[in-house]
Amino acid sequence: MTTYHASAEPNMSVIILITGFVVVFAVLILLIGIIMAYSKIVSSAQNASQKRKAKKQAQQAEISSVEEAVSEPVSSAPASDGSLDLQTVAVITAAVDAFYGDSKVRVVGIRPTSGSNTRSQWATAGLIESIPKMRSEGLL
Amino acid sequence: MGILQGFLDALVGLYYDSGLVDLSWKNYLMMGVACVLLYLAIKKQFEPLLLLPIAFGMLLVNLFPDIMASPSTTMMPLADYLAEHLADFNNTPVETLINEANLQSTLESISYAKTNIDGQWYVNVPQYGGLFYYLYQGVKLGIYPPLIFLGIGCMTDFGPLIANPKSFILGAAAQIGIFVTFIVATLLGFTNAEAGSIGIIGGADGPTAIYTTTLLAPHLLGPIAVAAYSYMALVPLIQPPIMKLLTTKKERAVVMTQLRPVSKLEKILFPIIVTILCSILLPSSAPLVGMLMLGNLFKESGVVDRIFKTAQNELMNIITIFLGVTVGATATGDVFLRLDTLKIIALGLAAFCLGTAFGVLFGKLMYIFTKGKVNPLIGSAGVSAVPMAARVSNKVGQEENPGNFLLMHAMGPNVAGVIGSAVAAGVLISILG
Repeated sequence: MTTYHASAEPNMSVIILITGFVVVFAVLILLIGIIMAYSKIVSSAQNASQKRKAKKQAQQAEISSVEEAVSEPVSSAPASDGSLDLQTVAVITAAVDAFYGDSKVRVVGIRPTSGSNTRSQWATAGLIESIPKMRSEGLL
Repeated sequence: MGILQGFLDALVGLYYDSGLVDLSWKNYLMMGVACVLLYLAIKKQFEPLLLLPIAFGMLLVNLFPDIMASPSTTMMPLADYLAEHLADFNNTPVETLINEANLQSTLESISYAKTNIDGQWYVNVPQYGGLFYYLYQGVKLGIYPPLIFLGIGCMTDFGPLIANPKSFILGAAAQIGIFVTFIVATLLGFTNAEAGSIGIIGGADGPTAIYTTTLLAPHLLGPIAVAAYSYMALVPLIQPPIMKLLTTKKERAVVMTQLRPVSKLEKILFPIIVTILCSILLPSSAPLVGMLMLGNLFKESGVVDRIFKTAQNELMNIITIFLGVTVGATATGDVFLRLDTLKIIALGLAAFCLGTAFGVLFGKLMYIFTKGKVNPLIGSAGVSAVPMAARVSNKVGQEENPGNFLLMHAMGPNVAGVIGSAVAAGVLISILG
């Protein structure tokens, strides 16, 4: 076992006491500052990213609601029994009304055609192009 | 008749080999101390994971001191050595082996070192050390403490500290006991290095105390390690009276508001930032703080599940067993029952009590500055001893208000105390090492 002896430099003990006290507190207070700072940075960065995410989600929600609205008529296709639902009837009626303008045309019935469309795409395009001409000539 | 004589000789030989002859009253007294510690560990469950192996190591070394014996060499006369190992020399007579013609070749065939004293040859036969001597090397070389810190890091949630970083103040305040005890120890005649090692007991952090003592005053390792671990185990007995003495009923009943949730990113950044800061400012604290934070990063990163589990379970348990029994095994009667050791034990207790007291007093200051929002009891948890000190804060708080849950609030200063004691150790090692 060692032989103990009084400290050769009593002042040294006091220096160690003060240094230890100050350094421990200084390091831990520095850590408090750093943790507070980075917590703020992290939380503000996370808030910003959350906001961005929320905004993006809101935009996506808007787009999807529009898409839903657009896709709804498509989804409400003619029922398997051949009848048409009310939305489809309304859309067709509105289209006919817009096409004929003020003329006294009344839609009295809408009936799905049986089988596939027999008119070719070219013929359909030709018909659409000729409609304004036919209207100007009073044929429609 | 011959058989009876042989039997009696064998019994006499066994008697002289037994502890009944070699052991002194000091060993028996230490066995009594070990049994008391075993009682506290098993019946009272005071930190049994630590106290039980320490107490058993203490018991074992006082029953069989050679279990801690260091390796040595015995100088055996050449003729005696040859007589014991004739089989290695094809049963050639000893006289033939050591005659002038064969001596040189005989010496060359013995692998151990040989010494010639006044023309007489001796063989330096090595004696192996005891089991605990080898296990103790991990303590002596400062290997176990950082590994224990690795496991502690894996098990520690720094969330409460990150949520309330002001807890660091309480963790720092509890380290004042270290430096006050340091001064008292120097006044009692210890050298600065010895006084630093004794003072660090006040950090209530066994691995830190061992690590510091290994570097500053290795000859005091046994008493300091036993004192540090015993006081850590006795936290539930030592702290409550001090806490109650320094606080009013009203202060103890303070209910603290819930801590904010801490994000995963904050928890991942914490160990990295603390390691960088502490290692740059106090490089000598890097082994302890670095391993603590590495363990914590294993936990928080969530990407190294296998090594995280190993570090906090198998590795930690193995090191705890080795550390516990070997620290206990340093407490032999001859080493422990000395005036210096008793001084160390008393100073260690003083350091521990002062640490607790300063933590509570700073808690009171925070109580005043926050207009009663901080319960001063959480200050006592600043003396590391994770998580026992935090549990004690919670328990004493609940004695006044059973619906008060201070555990998470006390965990902040508690884990701050671990960092604080490692920083204090770094300061002492830097100045005195």
